[in-house]
Amino acid sequence: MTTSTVPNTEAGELGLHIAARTVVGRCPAPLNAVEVAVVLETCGYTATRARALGSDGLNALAERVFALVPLYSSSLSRQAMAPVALPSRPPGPVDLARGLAYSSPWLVSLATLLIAGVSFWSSNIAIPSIADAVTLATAVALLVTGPFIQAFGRRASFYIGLGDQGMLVRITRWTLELGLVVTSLACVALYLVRNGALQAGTPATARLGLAAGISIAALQLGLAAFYVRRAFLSIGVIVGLGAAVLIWLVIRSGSYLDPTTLIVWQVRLVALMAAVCLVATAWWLLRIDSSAPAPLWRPSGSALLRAVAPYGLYGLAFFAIVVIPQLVSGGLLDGRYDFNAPFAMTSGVAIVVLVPLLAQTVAATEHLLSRQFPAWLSRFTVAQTGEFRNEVLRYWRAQLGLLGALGVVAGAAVIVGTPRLGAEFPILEDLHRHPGLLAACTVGYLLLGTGLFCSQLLFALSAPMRPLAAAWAGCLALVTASIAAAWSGPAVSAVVGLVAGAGVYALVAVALAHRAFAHADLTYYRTL
Amino acid sequence: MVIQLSPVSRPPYPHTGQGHDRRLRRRRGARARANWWRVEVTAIAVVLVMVTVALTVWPTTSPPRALPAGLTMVRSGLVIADAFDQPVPNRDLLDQYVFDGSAAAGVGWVRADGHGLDVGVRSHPSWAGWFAVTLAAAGPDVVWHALMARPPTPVGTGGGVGETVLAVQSASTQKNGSINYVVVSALSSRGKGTWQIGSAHGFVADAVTDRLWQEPLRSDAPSTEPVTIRTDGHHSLTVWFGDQQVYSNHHLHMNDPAPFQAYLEVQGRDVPYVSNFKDFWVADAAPVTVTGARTGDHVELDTGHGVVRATANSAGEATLRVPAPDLVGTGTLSITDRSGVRHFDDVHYAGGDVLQITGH
Repeated sequence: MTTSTVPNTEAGELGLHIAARTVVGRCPAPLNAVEVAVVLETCGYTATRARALGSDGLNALAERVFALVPLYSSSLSRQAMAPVALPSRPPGPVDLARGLAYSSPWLVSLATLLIAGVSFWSSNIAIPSIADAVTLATAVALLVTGPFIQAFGRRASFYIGLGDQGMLVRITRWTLELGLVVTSLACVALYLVRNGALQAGTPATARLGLAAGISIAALQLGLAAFYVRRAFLSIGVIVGLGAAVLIWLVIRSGSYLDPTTLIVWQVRLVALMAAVCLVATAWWLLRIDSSAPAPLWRPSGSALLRAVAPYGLYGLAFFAIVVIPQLVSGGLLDGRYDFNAPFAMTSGVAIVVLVPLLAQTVAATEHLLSRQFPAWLSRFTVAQTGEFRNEVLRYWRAQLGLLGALGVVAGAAVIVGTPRLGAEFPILEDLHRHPGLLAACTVGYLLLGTGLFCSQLLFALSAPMRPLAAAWAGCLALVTASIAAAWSGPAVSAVVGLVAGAGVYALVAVALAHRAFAHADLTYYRTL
Repeated sequence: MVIQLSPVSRPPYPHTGQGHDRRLRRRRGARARANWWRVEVTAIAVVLVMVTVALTVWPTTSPPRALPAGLTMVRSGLVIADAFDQPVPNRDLLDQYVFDGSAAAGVGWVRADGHGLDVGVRSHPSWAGWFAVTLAAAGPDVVWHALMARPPTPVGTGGGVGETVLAVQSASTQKNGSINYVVVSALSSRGKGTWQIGSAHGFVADAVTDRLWQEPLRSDAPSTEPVTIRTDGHHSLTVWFGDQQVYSNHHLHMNDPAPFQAYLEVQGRDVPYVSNFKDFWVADAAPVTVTGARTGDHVELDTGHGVVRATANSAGEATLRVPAPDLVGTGTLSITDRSGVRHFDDVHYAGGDVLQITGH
């Protein structure tokens, strides 16, 4: 190494020149003393050190240093490094359509439901013991895999970008594979409690629930890498093939399909799709040309855990808001679980409003990261924070407004339109009997979508603690409201909890996101 | 605190003295480790599928049948078989049946205590019932059988009515809500009893029954009958009580499309009432086929209710046309050829079975 050090007692011209070279090294063409002060501060210069260099404070030091900058900054570098504004346009229909691809497994599942009259997620099971087992297993799978998927999504893209195959393998083991192990253990525990201790359901449905929990979790985890890699076409192919097999099975069965045969093949198809996803993940999606740092530079396990923990905890709280109302509707507060068909049907239909909201979330977030921030960074210097914040706030308000408009249209379509589909699709024929439940669930999911939108934008700003706080506040509100409304019956208690939980989540997330955008600065890329 | 003297343009991680950037040096064995991980994930995927398949194997609707040495089962024609001669917990029964009915919660009940399947209703003021319906569906070319029993003493001297029902209903109810079925029932009312055969039509509830056959209402009507039903759901219906054919018509208009499910059912009003079912089976309405015989061999099956005979054809197949009421049972199979007679005792046979003779 060629560097050497001097004690922190230097004064006079030498220290000023060192500071000037330092500033030019970081910012070859600072516009004014303010920008110089910002750079100096980021380089560790404090008021005490400014006084040691003979200045009253950091700003005074910055003015003196700014005067020395021309000595170290050539006109060429000034010209070369001057901000050049990149073109940027707001996210449009194409971005929204790309966002819809995120929901492709879900959309394929819905199409299967309508075409075949059956669902991959077993909301139309005529046998109570099967419905109980599979919906409980689904709840456990969503709840347990949520944290691992969030953690993987955040960290894997970082190591893919870094080109570190070794760390990618490590993070996959500690998120996706560990998630599968933990979910399997949770499902086994549920199986032992229900089949062994409580003797609930039947032996075969208890085993079915175990299989359903593991396979649904595996599919969730298996699809995670596809989302990280934006492999939407592949997701569509895999899920579409699974749906095609299911539809073929239903059509081939003629006028009667044994519900046990149906659910058995649903679960097996989910497991098969999960297996294909896992194999594709390992051999294709997460195969990168490694130019990675040697192990010396890799973070320890505890450091890794600290980095992903906020995302994992957020995932747990978010999926708790999704899942707990289903459990409450089954009688969780009375210490039991019986599949609540009206709530499952209405909430299963109402949750469709998340499709356009999710698309808008993806469009706004990806646009912000991939185009809008580079454009802003090319236009603004650190000295132009005020203008920059105005732009950021304008973007945030416009995207939130668009989300609201989409939500109103989607909500109206669901509340007014879907009960009329009952005549065409027998699976929806009971929907018109529960208009209040449908409207309340729709409002709940619209609020949930709003919270999700704000959370994803906050994640894009590398501010995970705020969505974490919002999601847990929502979770707390959900539990409190459900308990408070328990006297009115499981379905009402569930929907009150959903609306309250999602409402608090959305409210806190909007407030925190607004605050984050209002205080935005140009150091967004500080962490990953 | 320290500062760098030359922080401007030096690369943050300079090359080492060996001429290599240690940071970018590829780890020895990294590729092998990554490949090992890929194999590991593939193994996880394979195990996932195998475990899922193993966990989702549903209990069979008919028990395994042991055959005597020298006979193997090539094809089974037995669709459902439940003797109900052993106690079975309800949670096990629910893997094969659904319990439901028009009776209010807590009024209908089901129990299999080793003396048959009891389907009961507690006393309630309106006409309502409860049933155990098979999850499996079969037909049209199958035969349905159960030993049906109502309480030995006819009810209703105080005004109540009870009915024991075996219905064969179109499984299309699941998709279109139609409840078209054929029914054999034992009615008990005003201290007398009778057996009836009918065909019913309806949508979702309150089907209208066309009575096709009825015994006179009398106090000494039998309380138990081995009932066997064969129907195509459209024009043909034949019913046997024991080995006696009591009704047959091939010109009906029933609009009861296959496949069918069996409803083991009770209906009642104002009295507690229990239907009892034993020896319930559903089998292909087809002969028992014995293969592997020599051309011209004589094959006999003694069902206990009679002997069915056939001669092996040039392909070595003998077709035993067992009467419908006896299509499932335990009998003795005899093969007579030039060298003598071979007996196979305790053969658990069913219509549609293909049995292969081995070890000549």
